[in-house]
Amino acid sequence: MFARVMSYGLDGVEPFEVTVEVNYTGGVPSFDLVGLPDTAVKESKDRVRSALANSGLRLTPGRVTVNLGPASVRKCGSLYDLPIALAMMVGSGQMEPEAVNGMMFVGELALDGTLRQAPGALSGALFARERLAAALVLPADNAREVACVDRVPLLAASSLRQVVDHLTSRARIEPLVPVPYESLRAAAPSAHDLRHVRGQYEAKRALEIMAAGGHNLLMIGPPGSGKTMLARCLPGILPDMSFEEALEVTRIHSAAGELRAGGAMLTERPFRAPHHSASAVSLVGGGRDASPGEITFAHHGVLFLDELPEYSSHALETLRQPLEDGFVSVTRARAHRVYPSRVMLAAAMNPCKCGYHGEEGGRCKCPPGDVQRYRARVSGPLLNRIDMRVRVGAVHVEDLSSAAPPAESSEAVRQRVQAARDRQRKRYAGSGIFTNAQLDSSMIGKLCPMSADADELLLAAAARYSLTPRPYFRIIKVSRTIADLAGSDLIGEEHVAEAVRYRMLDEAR
Amino acid sequence: MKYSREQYFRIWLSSVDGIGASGFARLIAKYGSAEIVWERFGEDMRWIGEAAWKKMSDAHNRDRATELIASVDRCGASVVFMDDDEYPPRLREIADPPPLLYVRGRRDISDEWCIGVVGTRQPSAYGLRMTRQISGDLARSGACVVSGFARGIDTAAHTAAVDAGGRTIAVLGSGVDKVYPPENVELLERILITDGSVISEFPPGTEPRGAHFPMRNRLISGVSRGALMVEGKEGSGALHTVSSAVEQNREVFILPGPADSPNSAPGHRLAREGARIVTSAVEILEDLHAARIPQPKNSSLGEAVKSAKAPPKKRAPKSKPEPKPEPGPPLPSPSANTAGQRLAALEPRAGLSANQARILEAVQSGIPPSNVDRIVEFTGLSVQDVNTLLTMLAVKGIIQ
Repeated sequence: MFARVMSYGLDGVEPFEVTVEVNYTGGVPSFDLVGLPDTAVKESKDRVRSALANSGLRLTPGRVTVNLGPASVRKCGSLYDLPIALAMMVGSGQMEPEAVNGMMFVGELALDGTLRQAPGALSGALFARERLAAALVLPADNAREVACVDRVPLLAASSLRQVVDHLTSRARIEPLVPVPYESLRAAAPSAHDLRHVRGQYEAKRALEIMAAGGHNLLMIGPPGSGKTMLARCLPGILPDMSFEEALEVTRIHSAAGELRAGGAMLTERPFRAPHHSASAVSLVGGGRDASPGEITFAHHGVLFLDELPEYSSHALETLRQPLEDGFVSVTRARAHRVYPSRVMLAAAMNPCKCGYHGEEGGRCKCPPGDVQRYRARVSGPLLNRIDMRVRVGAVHVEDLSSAAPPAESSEAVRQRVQAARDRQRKRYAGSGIFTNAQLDSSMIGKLCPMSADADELLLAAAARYSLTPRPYFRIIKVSRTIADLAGSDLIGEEHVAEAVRYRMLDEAR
Repeated sequence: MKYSREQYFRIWLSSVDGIGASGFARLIAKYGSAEIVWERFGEDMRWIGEAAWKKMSDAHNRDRATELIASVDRCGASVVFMDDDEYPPRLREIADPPPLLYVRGRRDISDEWCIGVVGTRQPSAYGLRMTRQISGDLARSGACVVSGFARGIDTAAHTAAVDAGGRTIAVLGSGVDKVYPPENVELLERILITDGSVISEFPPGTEPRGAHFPMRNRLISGVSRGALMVEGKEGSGALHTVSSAVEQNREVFILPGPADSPNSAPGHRLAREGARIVTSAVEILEDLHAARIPQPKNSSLGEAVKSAKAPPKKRAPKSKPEPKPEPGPPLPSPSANTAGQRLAALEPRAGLSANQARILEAVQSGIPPSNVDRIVEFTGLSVQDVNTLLTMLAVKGIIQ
């Protein structure tokens, strides 16, 4: 007998419909699985058989053929265990075909019949809603992830037995009650707070501007000056993610299996800090299945590259295009995918190999020339894409004593950042961009009005520092953000003057 | 450029590696001209030394000599011979003056007022700041800043002179067509377009070699009236330059530094032995009895603050007749010192706001302008104000 059960698969982050078909005939018992399955899918045969047996569901022996359609698309992962098991139940006549009609199923089975977390559940739930499915049955571990999805019945089950009982009307599973996104956001505060960073006024100010305008930032300073700690404070001062942003981010992480079991939707902006041994593929994505890289996992958040010159230059160069475009196309023989990569890049580096160049007291032991060589490891084109550079000086011990006045908290900074972001959102409504960092040179003329003083100062600075057009426009963008933080529609002289400093830093120092 | 027949042979003879200035002089003294040396070259010249003779015999080849001359023209260099008017007059006085110099940029390098400025390749912020200030003031007062084009102090000295719209001579330890260190390409271009000169006694194509630098150092002091050492460790090239200055009977000036820094110890020792401690361009020029001293127009930080707070400075006595530092053709406007200086010229120094004055005070107290955090602590201003004011002061040319 023939049976059909609906499920979904993932092409990167995007879901597509998968039909699980089973044909059951009498004869010598056998089991065939077709429809371009990968190893994890092929092995589901053994998991399904013992899960059924251990759930007290016996199948009549016979010839079983399972097909996953569309047959031309590769199916990966273990998410089809549950639909295959149910299709076999229907095919062997132990369940009515009507019981599974219009519903979608997803989940991996343990040998004892319990259901395990499925990747991409959030994408799946949105897909089920779009397809007007009667319900989506998914593992209980995914329940919190999909909690915000409304207008589609979502049934969270912890075992195969529970699903079968529901479908045979022996024991009902109640659909999840949708929770508003806002209730999730009241999460625990970030572990790193600017309050705990003493001194470093300039670096903190730079972080604030970076967060407010979505700019990229390079911090240069000796070891132990707190560059990493400053960067880790970033999530705490970034504006809240909107529901749409949170959906996008969670879907990416969920599809790649990066959410922990039972984890809820992500509400804090991602902060990714890949080690400097990272390969180009792990940064921008790739591999056999064209899977996403760190820059995609950092989408709508921060990609932090500590010890920038230590990364392979090839890996760094591959970041240039995604940083500029906000998306990355990963093309492999078997797959072509486009992932979003709208990140703020925070990078940190020592000024030289020994780390003390430019510090007072002549602590630097590097021979002349080595300093230049060390810096040259970061290519000019990449540096050009970094709007702001800031020097992070060594910390004075007296600043660390508890008698020093406490610093401003992350929350206070975040509120200013939020206000500046709101101004930008209003200004750019309908133009397809959200932050000052995304402005292109044609928009700058229209959207960045400058006072006459500011214009004159910018020209003088351009002449003094022999600026080329790219840094020139970057200075205007940063000035725009500084003006937004000050609540001003017009870019004034003081805003330009401050922005110039963040551009000139490592040249002059 | 056209040279006489004898001059061509002199270029050839001086380019032979291993002969040196003294070998050249001995050969000319014995045979009368370089042309005769070429024609009579043979076994009987072995007295010059076995190694040098071997090199000469290698170089005694018409194709190589022709190629050498062509390479001089190719890189836009010209050759200044010892008996030319353009040859630095003081250089003729040293023990082993180079018979000729390869010059790019302005050919006339007979500047009356040359001051050598040398120092370490790993300077402190203080060293760099003082180099910029002193070189800038020297250049503004009409002196020619001579240095060795190395990293660190040398580079700062040339840059400050060019920025000030003044004259500078870079003495290379390689051929004039090589740029070493490579990151100074832009500086080299700027020197050339602002009527500066880049000179070397080594023929074009010569790579920078360790052995060349001591020879280069004797030229820096040789063309100058005096040499200022900013910072330099024991055994450094800077110290070597001032030692040759002593041998050549030139004034040696020392910029004082921290007593416990290895970069200032040799300088302080020289000062105890009789070198002069100086802290400004004015003092150098006064010691050399120059009548022209830096005008407080358009100048560095020290001048700016003094004119704002202190009574007008005493002028140096105009005892000697005005030394004439070759006015030369009007300088082409160098690219980087235009807008800022125009602004500075428009705005009177007294127009500094109270906050700008506070920043200046902080920088004057020894905090480098790069250390914004310390300036914030010093002045109590907000970090955005400090950064804003620093840019304004920098654009006006008041600080770096």
